[in-house]
Amino acid sequence: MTSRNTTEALTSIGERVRRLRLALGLTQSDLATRSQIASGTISMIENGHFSADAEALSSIADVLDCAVDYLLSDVADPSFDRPKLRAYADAPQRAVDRTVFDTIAAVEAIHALDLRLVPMNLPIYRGDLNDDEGIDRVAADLRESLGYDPDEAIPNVIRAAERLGCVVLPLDGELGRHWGMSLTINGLPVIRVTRPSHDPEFNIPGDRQRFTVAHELGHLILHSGATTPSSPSDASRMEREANRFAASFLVPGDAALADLAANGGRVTLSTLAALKRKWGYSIKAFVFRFRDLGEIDDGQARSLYKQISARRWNKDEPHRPGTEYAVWFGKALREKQLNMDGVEAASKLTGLGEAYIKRWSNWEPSGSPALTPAPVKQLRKRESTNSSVDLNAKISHLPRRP
Amino acid sequence: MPMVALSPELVEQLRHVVNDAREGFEAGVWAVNDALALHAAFIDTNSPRSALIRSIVVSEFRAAAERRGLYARTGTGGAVELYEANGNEYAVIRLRSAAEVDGQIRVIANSGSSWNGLSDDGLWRESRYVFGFMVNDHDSISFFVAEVIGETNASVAHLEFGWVHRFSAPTTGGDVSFTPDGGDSLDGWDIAGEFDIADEA
Repeated sequence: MTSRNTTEALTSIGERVRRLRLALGLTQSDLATRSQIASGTISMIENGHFSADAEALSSIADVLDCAVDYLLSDVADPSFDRPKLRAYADAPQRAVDRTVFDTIAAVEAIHALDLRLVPMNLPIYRGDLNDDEGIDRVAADLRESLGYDPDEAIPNVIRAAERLGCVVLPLDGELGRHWGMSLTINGLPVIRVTRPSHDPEFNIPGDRQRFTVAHELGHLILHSGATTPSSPSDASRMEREANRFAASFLVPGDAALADLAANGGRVTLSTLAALKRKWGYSIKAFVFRFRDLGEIDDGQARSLYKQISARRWNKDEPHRPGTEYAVWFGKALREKQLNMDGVEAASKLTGLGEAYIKRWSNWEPSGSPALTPAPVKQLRKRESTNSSVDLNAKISHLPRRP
Repeated sequence: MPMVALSPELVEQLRHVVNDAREGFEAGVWAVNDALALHAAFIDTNSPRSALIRSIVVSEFRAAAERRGLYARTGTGGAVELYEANGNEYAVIRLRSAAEVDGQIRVIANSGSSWNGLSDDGLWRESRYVFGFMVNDHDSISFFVAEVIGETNASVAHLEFGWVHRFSAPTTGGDVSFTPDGGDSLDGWDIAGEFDIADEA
């Protein structure tokens, strides 16, 4: 092996270690402690400055839940965009890294397993992003290409994204204020979206999940190839554009106005609740939508938000739709592995632990179901063998004062 | 003194009026803040806000009552009131703003007391009721109807109530919610009849 090859091999091992460590949300120090290797050594391994022996690699692989061969395999630099990540400034860096590198590992596994992808039908918007009507048009065209009537609610937004060629994978918990993230890795669009949880605090409502997926679709379509925003205002502009796309995709403007008129024409919470039941779109988002459509002004929107707050709907709106789940990854695994157990076989083929594969295919609610209260045992009644026994303490009266 | 409740039929009619008026109020209350913002003097006291809110409530109350076939008349002193048969007597149900103080509903007794002229001559009897509304800082409104049995003799007198019925906030369409399609077909990817998770389940 030439010294150049050796350097490349060390760099590759280091990069593999770093990526999986970040995908698991571990610091170098965490990895060092768990693998019983000095922290400085871990740092040198990751930077390609130290050749770990077989024993050290085995310890590291154990902690990272992968085969040693996985760490030794060539790593290719993934080409992925991070233009939207500024929007996650409110999320801990470690949580963002975990999602990004876990997603990179997932895409690498998808390619390693040679899973059959859904043909790519995701359009790229080349129009003027300052033109809201242009964004509305691309959303309307996309609905049409998917075969949805303008006045029809999208039956399953995750399925729609999958049919467009996006890989949709579950995400545990939130990223700051966000319930999702999208990335294009080696040309493959991936959406991560929070799965439901048994913990009410982290249980994503179905309407939020639908909006999040549509919002991330908006990023993939509108901001493909865009550079990282240079300022927070640029980042919030991109968020606003993705929101506009999501709103138009989920509830086309003309259909929203027609439904409002059919429900009496007044923008009130009960009207919006009726619209929510049809569209699976939150009441709060409808307030925003009708303001965007010019049906109400800022003052009325503020008043409606106050009323929402008074009814404690900020956290828990009525008519909560069910959540959705993706199917492509599970189906593709089954197709590839035929009669073998998909997860186990995929784990062996990729060199990654089964936990990785399960994490990318498990849409069951996270956390533990609420514990049922322990039964309270009733005390047995004290049996009195002799009912005539006087159980009252005797009271001795004090002598009267003279 | 025995409490005299409004008949269940009348309460039901009023419930519809309440839901309708609440809907109208909540759709229009935003205009109050917009109006108050037009001049700094409008927020020197609470009077302009109260007057604006009352205007909207009166307008919505009249419209809602009319839609329900109830006649909202203008009583003495400009009061807005319903006049409806309630069993063997007539109920004069007057629209009033109210406040909740320590869990107690409070309606200030007007010095006009135009109710004092109600008929009680043996041929028919008229009873006094308040159709009260309370608006909170969150632009939400709640309603109640209450039988008036007297006034306190405090320096600022308020009405004393017998039978009271509070109208609860309307439900927003029961438990019906949007349900996403649970199908797992992927057009353009599925091979007919194969690898269908639903089939294997």
